[in-house]
Amino acid sequence: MLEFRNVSKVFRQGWLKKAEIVAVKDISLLIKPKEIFGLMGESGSGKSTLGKLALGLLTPSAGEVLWEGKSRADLKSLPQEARLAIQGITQNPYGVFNPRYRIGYALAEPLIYHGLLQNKQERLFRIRETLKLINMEEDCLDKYPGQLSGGQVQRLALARVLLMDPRLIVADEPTTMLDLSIQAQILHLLKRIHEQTGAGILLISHDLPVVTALARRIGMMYGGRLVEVGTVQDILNNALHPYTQLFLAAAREEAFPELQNSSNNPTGCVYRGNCYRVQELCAAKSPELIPVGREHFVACHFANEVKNG
Amino acid sequence: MTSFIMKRTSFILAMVLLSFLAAVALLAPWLTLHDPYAQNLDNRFAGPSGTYWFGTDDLGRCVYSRLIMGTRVSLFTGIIVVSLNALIGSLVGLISGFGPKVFDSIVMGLLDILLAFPGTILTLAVAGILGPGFLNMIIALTLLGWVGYARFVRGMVLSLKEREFIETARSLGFGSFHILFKHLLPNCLGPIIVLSSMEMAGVILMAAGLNFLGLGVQDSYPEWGAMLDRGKNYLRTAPHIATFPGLAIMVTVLAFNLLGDGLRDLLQGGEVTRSV
Repeated sequence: MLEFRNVSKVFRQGWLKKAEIVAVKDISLLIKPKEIFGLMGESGSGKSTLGKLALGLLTPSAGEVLWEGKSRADLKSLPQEARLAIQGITQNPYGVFNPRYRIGYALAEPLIYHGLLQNKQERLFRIRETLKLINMEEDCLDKYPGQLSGGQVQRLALARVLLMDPRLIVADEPTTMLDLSIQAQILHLLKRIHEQTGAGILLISHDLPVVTALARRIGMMYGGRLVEVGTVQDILNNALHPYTQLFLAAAREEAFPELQNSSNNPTGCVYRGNCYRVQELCAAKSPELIPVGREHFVACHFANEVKNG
Repeated sequence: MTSFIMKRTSFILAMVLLSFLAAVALLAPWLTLHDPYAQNLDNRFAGPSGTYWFGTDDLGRCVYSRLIMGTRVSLFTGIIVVSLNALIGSLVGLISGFGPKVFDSIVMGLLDILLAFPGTILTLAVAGILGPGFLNMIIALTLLGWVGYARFVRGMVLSLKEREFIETARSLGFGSFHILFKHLLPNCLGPIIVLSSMEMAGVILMAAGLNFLGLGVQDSYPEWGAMLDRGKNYLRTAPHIATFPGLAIMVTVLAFNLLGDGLRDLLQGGEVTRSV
């Protein structure tokens, strides 16, 4: 179980670090064990930052990231099992392998480093087993990452992560750089892994079909905030946040939105510059996620009004 | 196509010359015609002949035999100094580029101060203060030599650090030490080797220069720079004494320069330029 508790991440830049970029703002979210949660939003909405916060690659500027109830602020103090419980794969599969090493070493390296499987035979056995799971031939072990195709490298990246027995896999745009048939392959693989190992998946993507094919719940992000959370059905059939509605319309090619105003409003609702529902309250107060259904939450002051017609 | 052949030729030529030099250095005791230290005062300033191929010097010693033995000193000095420079410089560069920003700024500031000194003059001054001797010469040549490597490696680390596989290494739970030496260093190694082969020529030339000025190894020891120094006094009467060591230095420097250029072109790096 992964919990974000009022997590914010601010990047400071420029002279004397005066320029602030708020990537993620006050996000609270619970990802249940063995759940596939889809995180959606446009580029720059903070979804990748949230993924990196989950992986521990970034530390939150405020708030806490908790795994099984324990804070991940000081990773080193956690027992190894908890430390390695969350693993990730990324958009560019070629990038994640050191070009200097053969795949065989790259797969074995974490196992050796963490002392997970010291026995060489056992290690090789596990690696072979995992290769079977991802449908790869053993001869890839002697190859360098540059000698393999994008889909193959992405599957191997997944294999390396699987060897560490993660409880949650953060998949940040795992299919964006692959062509359609390979995308389907990776998605099926993720699904199978989820079913066989029971690992949860935090699937970060801007691609609606990818997320709806896999996820049970979806979180919609805009301007560093979580604007709507719900099951796939809630979001697809009953989206209540104006941004989610716009996003879905765009994904279904019903509308081609052109957002005029930046999402960088320091106070009030992040979306108010583009919202058709905007009223005075929106500038004054930032909306909290309010429940509108059993698992359905919307960060809009007027969500209930809209819902009730 | 022409450039392709050009690339290979400089590399091949370098390898031929260097293999020859290495063979001479290794087999030196068997290649000499006479004892390189043996003086023959009856036969001073003799020109090249069948017995003394490159003639004899002002003390009647065989120039050819001394030149052969001198190959060892020059190559040995070059290899030791360049290895030390590369080792120290790479370590400082790795740590500076990978460590905390404050530490990096401090180290880079110090390096800038060091680089502000005119290198040759400082080397000469240090060699002069320490006095002659092989070890002192090495110290003088290493004192500033590593700075270039440090800056270079730091730059590489800064750009490698942003690559995805380093971030992935972090999320796989690897420690900084492991990332530094197992992931960053191997990716810097190629350019470091290219830089080293280019530096080699400069170091050998500088070492010969120090010896020429009497700041190197012991005077009686066959060293090319020192031989050149002795020969310069008799340039009009017995030019062969200075000419042959000079040629030897030239060929060696040329070989390492060609190697550096060839390696750079072969590795298609492009990022390595002659520095310092």
